[in-house]
Amino acid sequence: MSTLNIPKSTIDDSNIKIAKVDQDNGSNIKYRIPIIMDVITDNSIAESYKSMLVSVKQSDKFKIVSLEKNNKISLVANAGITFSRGYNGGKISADLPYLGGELYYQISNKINIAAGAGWYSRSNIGYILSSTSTSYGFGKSETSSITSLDKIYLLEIPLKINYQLKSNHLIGLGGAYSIVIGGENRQWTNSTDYTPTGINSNEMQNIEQLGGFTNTYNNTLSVFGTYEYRYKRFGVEARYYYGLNDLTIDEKVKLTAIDRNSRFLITLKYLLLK
Amino acid sequence: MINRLIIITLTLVVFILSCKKQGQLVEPDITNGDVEFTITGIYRSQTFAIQAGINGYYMFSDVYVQPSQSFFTFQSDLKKLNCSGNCPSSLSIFLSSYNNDTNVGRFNDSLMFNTSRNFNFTIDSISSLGFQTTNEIYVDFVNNSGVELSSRFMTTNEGNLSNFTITNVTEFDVNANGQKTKKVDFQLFCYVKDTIGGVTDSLYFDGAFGFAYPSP
Repeated sequence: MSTLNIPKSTIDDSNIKIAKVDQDNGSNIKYRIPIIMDVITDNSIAESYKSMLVSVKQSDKFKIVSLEKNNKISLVANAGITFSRGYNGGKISADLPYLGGELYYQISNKINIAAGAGWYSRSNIGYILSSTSTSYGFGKSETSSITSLDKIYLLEIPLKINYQLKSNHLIGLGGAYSIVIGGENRQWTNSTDYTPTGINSNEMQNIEQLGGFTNTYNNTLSVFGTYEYRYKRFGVEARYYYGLNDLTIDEKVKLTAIDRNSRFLITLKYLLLK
Repeated sequence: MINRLIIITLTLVVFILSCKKQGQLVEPDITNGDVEFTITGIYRSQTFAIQAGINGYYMFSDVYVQPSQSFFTFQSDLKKLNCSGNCPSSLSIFLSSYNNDTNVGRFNDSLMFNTSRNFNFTIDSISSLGFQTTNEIYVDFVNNSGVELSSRFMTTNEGNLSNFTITNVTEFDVNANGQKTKKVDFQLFCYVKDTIGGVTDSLYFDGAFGFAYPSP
């Protein structure tokens, strides 16, 4: 093991837990010291390490016995809450849960990138579709329906890059593609048949047709800014998404304004693997 | 300090971007299907048109056997709902079956309704109701004034000049009586009179009527 230049700034004092791992009869004591460092080898290949094993003699001289490589890839689970603003009265809704996972790749001590997937919902859709249709046979039949599109479920695929401002504090930018995978809605239908025996009316109500009416939505692309705080294996992240396109297909939902699917997300994070 | 700035900035961005215009609901989707049963044509030099489902009109259809007769009678009326007696601006077509047989199981709807069928106009000088025999047709027409006219009062010569031609036949829905029906497109030319030797009018109509037919 050659001479190493270890910047002091890479050592997180609060997290250092020196573990005594061995002691031989010659009074050599071995310790594992957590440390984050990147080493440029002779072949200019960056290698990252997360701890080193040192041997200490009674003379108090340290001898580095080995270095334990740091894994650049980590897997994080996310659970959170989504805030968004709907059309009807500009109501802000808070939708639970946001569930997802991200794979982080540490590019350097300060920068990492992450990609993943997340499932979330929006319950403040509140779009009303109404229609009337008249059909003719022996006489006339009229059918009118009102459909309330109440909730949608989406799957997002985020990609972001984070920069570590200081220890445990990261900010980042990213983009996310959201796919509408289902929804809940209520539909009221009233059909009227004009027959020789009189006017026959039939009212029907369907509630929560999961997966219905997804064809009234576009998938959306968003950019987002993010702030993340880490504490040991836990973390918390806040993101604001700004949509780049309209969530709804205007010709189908008869809305003239744009719903960008902009939203605010707060997640709790847990480091599953590193 | 930097952390506080970041949080404040993010919060401001959220509030600014969330102040967007509300959506506007517009008129509902309105769709109209095609009218199935109709007659259009000329009556007294005026265009005459009535359609089932429009202005309260309905396509009535029935098939039955008259007492003392040994064949089916097919009756179809295009008239307003909730109207009985002489309904103004209405047309009724009566057909008699292709043979003397009232057995429902042996009835052949393809023989009854096809583009090769020829019907003879019933000439009924004694104004009795119904047909004398098979393969006949007569038409009752009530004009805008509520005057009932019938092809049964034609002279034999006028009857020979009249014709009823089926141009297309398609299967249609079950009617209000639960009977199967055919949609029959036709061309009609005939004379109609209020009484024997009375006022004579002529009808030139294209149309589509629903005819019920017997089925097991």
